[in-house]
Amino acid sequence: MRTLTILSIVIAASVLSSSRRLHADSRGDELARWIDERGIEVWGPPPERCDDLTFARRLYLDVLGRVPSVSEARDFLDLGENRRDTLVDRLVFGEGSRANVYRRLAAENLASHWRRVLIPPGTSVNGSPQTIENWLSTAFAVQMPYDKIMRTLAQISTSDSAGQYYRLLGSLPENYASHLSRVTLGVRMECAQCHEHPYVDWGQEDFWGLAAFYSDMGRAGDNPDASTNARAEGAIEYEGVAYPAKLLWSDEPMKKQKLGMRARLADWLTSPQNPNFSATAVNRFWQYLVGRGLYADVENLDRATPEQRAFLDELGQRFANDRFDVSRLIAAIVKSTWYQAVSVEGDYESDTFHRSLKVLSPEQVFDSLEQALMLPVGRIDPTSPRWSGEMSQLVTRLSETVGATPEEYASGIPQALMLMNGRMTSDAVDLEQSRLLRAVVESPFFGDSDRIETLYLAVLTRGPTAEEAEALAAYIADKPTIAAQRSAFGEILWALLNSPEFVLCR
Amino acid sequence: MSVTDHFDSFSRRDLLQVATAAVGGVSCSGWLPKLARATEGKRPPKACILLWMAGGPSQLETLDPKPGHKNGGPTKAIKTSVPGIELSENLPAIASQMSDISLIRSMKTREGDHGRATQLMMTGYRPMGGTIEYPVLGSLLAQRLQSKDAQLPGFVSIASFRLGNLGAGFLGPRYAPLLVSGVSNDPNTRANLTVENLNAAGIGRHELAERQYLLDVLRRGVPVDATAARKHAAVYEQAIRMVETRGEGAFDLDEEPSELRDAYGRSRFGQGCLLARRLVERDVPFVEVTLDSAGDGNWDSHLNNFRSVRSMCEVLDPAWSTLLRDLRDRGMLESTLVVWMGEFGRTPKINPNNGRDHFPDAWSVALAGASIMGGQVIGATTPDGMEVKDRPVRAADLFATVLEAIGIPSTAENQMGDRPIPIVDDGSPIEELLG
Repeated sequence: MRTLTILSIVIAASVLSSSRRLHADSRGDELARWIDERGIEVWGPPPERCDDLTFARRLYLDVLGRVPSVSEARDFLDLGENRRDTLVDRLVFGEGSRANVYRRLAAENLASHWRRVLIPPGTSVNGSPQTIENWLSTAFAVQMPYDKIMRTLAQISTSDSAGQYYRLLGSLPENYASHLSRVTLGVRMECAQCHEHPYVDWGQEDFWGLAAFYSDMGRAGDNPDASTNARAEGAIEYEGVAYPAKLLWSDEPMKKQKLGMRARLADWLTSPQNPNFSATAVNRFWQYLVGRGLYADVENLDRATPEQRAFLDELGQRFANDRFDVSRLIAAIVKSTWYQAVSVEGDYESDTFHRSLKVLSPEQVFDSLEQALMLPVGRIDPTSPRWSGEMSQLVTRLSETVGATPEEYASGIPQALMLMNGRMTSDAVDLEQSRLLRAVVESPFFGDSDRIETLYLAVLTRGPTAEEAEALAAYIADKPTIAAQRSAFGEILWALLNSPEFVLCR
Repeated sequence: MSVTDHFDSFSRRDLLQVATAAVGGVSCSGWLPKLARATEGKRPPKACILLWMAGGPSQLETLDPKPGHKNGGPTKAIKTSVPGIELSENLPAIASQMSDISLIRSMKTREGDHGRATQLMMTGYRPMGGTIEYPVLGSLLAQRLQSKDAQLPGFVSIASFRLGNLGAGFLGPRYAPLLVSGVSNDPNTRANLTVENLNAAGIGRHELAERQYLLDVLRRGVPVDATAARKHAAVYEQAIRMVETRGEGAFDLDEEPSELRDAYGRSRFGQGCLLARRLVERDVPFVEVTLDSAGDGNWDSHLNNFRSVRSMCEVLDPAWSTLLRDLRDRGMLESTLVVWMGEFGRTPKINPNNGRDHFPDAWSVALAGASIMGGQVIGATTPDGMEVKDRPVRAADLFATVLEAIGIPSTAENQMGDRPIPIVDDGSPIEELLG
């Protein structure tokens, strides 16, 4: 009887604790704590925390794809003790009064990022990548788990499936297969297309074996190279050699079964038991949010040693156990002390932790300009840059030079000239045209220092330092006339928009 | 021996020291003499101008006429300044400069689609799928030839019209082209060649200086030694300098004598060739000038080939020949390679629309300047023009020849991460052309 009581107490307690655990981690908090502790084992004690406004700027950019407005930044500071976690819950899980807007922005931002992962800068694209971005946006908006998104991409049935990804990549089985292994497994095999890979043990039977899963898909062009598709999925011919469909890390070709070959590829690829799938996934999210992957060479995870990828594999396993829930993974990473570390620069050892500046994506630059400058956004407003063609001009120009990682600033002279002298900037610094400037300069309640502070907050999400405030006040005071002083604010705004801090998230 | 060769003989440690010295401003005594030796007496540096004939020009109406054969159509051949070499009647001015030009009449390239053929002729690699993005010729040369303290970009592309997404590929955006657009192609108006956003309305020297001051105030906000922030500062410095000097004055074509501008032709392409010379004078190692349409003509002459090509040549002939003459007059032809090519040639057989279609089996390109020995013809086509009779030349062979002609070993390799990628896809230079 006594034993039974104890037993039932134990059972009750364990049920209670497990339900509490489930409840407790519905917002990624427990995983964040695990990340904190596991990180200390790897890197030692965490660096100093960044300040609140820096955190807000990071989070708005990383989750919503734009900087916070002046009022959003001020509201955040008023949130009280636990304000960082509260902000994460609002932006990542769409809680609070602006839930619908935030959810939509967050899905669009994730879609724009993953579109660039799926179609990296410089890829020859057949058609507009907007189709895949729209498809991703819908997937993220309905909280589709990560494995399901990738499974859908792997299991396409026509070149129109999954946002036309197959067609965009040029309608070639080998292109599709090599991008798929790069995106989902961090394995690049393109060298093995024509010869054996010189560094990693990938051979032609691996490359073409993976391509063979798509051999029944349409092929572009009049057979431009030596490969030909079989009529059915499962075999492909290259330079006279037939390659049967074969999974990576396996020596045996796939045997015919009732379930289609591509479905079995998708099963294997996205399985929670496939460590490369979940590890590559968390590595990509970590790289996007923190700036550098837990294993830095994200696209070549197959070159990592077991020690180098231990943290990654464990985090990946937790992601898989949590059914690949994207929001909870993001929340856990941004709630961790590592994400919130102050950014430091200079020489460092590769085995220490390092938070560096992150370059805004072209879309983030536009959306931040739109937010900071209080630009009209309505589709029917002819002055709205989002619809007038200015957005696409800016984004196209900036997209020509996107770095391989968020840490790499790759812009060149044309991109700098665009931000210096382009139409959006010249309108922004013109008192007649600029909503932000007018609001700031013409507000009767503002002194010059309030004006400067508001411009700073709108563009950089911080106030000026004492040194900056002093220099800028002197700059304004130096102007001989009231009119010159008014237009001096336009010049300050020009400098804020062109400062490294605007395009590099601190 | 070129500047690049000297740089190649620097050890990696030397280069690191250079980099450290440049950043930290520490003593330069260790490497400066070596650098001085490397550059001493090596002026002017090598450069390349690519005249890119987008669309694929007909070889039969330009460099390889076939009068007397029915495939030749009505196009006549004319004598050139080199006995035994004849060109189409469409290129009289070029014919008079034949002693500086060499022709390759045996290009054989297998790619007959505009996009794929452009990729092949621009990168030297056949499109293979997969995810290696090969750099275009301009990026390859910019990376090898651009001096470390260059004020202008190493690769300028004028009036570019390009299919697909070709650029610096794995070499990275540093070697991507600076695009110069021409507003008008009307020969009666000024071909307004300029860099996008080079001028801001109402911003003079004084305003620019003020902006620079304010930018300096704000730079203190980020960690200044951050790699990204350092790059940002460097790019802005270059961009501001370009605005200030209006591209080192390269774009002020008004400085040129009016007769010379007329000689080039007052077309976008003609003025683009003049701009190319001015850019090379300012140490830009690679300039690409595109000619894709003129008047009612274009190179993609599926319809009315003969009229179309004649219109194109009316723009091409004065521009190309004046460029060669101008370079020679200034003593720049010995160091500047001028390449004329498109992505493929046209079918010798005339189609029912009196046109010619895409033809990669036997077509022509032309090289002049730098180490190219002029007045030669490499290879030949059969009398009907359908096949290469002698000495087929692949895209990779042409690339190897171009590289060697400006002093870059065609066996060199680039690094993509830690993977070596040959600069040329297994091509051999045409030795007869190289002096």
